[in-house]
Amino acid sequence: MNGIEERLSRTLGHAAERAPRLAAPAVERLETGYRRRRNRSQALIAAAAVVVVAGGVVVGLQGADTGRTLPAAGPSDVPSAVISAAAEPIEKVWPQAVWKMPAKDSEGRELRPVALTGDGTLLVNAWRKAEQPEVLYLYDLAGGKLRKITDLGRPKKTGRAAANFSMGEGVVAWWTSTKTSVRLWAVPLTGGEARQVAEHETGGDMIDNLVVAKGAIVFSVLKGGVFSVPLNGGQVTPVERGSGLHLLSWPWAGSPGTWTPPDGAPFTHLVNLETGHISDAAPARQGEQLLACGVQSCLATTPGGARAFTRLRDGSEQQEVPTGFQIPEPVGQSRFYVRTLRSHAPGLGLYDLKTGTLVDLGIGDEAAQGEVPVADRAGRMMTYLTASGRYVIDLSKIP
Amino acid sequence: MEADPRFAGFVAERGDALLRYGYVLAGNPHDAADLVQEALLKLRASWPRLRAKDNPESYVRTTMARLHTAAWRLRRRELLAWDPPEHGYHDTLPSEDEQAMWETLAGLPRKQRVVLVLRYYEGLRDEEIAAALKISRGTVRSQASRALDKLRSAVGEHIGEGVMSDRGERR
Repeated sequence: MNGIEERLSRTLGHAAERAPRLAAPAVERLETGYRRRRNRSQALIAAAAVVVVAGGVVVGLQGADTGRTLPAAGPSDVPSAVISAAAEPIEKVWPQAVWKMPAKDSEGRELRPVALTGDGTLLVNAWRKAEQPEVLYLYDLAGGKLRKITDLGRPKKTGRAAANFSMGEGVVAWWTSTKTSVRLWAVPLTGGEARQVAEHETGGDMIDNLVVAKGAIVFSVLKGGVFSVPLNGGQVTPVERGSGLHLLSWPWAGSPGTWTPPDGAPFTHLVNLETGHISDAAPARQGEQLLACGVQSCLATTPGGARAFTRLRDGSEQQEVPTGFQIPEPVGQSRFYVRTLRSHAPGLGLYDLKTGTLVDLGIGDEAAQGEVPVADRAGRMMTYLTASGRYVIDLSKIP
Repeated sequence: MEADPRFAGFVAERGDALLRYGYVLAGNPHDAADLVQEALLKLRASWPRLRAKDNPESYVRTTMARLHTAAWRLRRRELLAWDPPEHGYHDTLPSEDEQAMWETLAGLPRKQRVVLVLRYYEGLRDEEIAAALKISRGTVRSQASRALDKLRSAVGEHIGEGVMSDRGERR
């Protein structure tokens, strides 16, 4: 690439950083627009009360600059105890669960929390250019110190940068891709040089989930199928019982996968890859729609889609999701919900269904820019960026 | 109203990346949002027909590139009013040099700009660009070379020429 090309590529990369964030009720609006277009005579259907998200983000919160809450979140539908309670800041209500950290590292790269390690540190990656992680760190939450684990190589040509960082057995593993294959990498949490564990020809197919378990990297691909390779290298082999399935969380794999069209709620069928135990979710009852399942429970809506609820996979223990609340990933967690706090200004709160507590997350105007709490894959941590720094919420510390 | 959770998930997970791509394609947040919205509506319409092997992201990206070249008129606002914020977190590009280049890009014919974005932002090879835009490889090359000439004359060539490296990466 010559000088002008290099500069162009750099300019485009930097310009992309200035792009707008996804405006809030994107999915509802798309759904509405799609339906309106499909049948223009059809009256506009009320926006959904609930949007389930597989990628770890909640959407459907509030118009970017209209300051309006969604129609389905009208005050009359919300228990008055909730709406009238002034929400206290989360750091006041659950101080033991809240950490604040800098938004950037010393080189100005944006810090992106991945997951909590369990011993007071946080796995973090950092990037300059969106979705091009350059470095992995462990962040000491109490001490406020970053320790570098490893630098991440840059992908070649049409390859995909490092993704799906997953911890287990003292290592971090992730994958990158080339045009026709995926590469699996690992590095000890104590630090060192990233090591390519294996390369697996997929003909362009991507990985949809990856975990470290049983001394191996276990992963599944978008078109289905669970594979594993020993952490110290060797052959990539299909996992017994994992044929056609998608990894949810070890040892569970199932179908349909999160990204697998056509219809069917994700993970209604689950297989325990270790024991062979099969769990098929109880089917939706008359008129209800099953949206998605986790290891413990499924999320569904009532006929017409007006209300959402969770039930255990066997169909028992139905629990209503209060109207107007958004359900963060993973859908299996049936305790924490996100909602807009005010009808006249942007602002997001977190609601604990178990105790009925609503707290102010401290996301104010940032909500209008599309900032929402993002959970890790295990649903243990939530993180978001505000003007006063990055918040990390350890949900497991909320009694 | 039921939104397919997988479609919702796709939009949530990839929405921001698609907006970034739309932004470098279109050059401003409003058209970026319109492009993404239009492409996602098409994806939503064909979602039930997508097969497991189809990659929704590449479908959307290809749709966006095609829409942008096809003298696509912005018929959108009646529809969804996406309302993007006026700008992201950073107001200007880090260097004057890049700002000048960004402004020059805004003056390029659409097809030339799209070819540059596919080559230097998406990291596609010329034959892949040709396939995405349904044009010949020769046209890709000539459009790219014309566009690069314009950039060169607008912002000047740099010293440090001739350093060969891989092209930009897909993101």
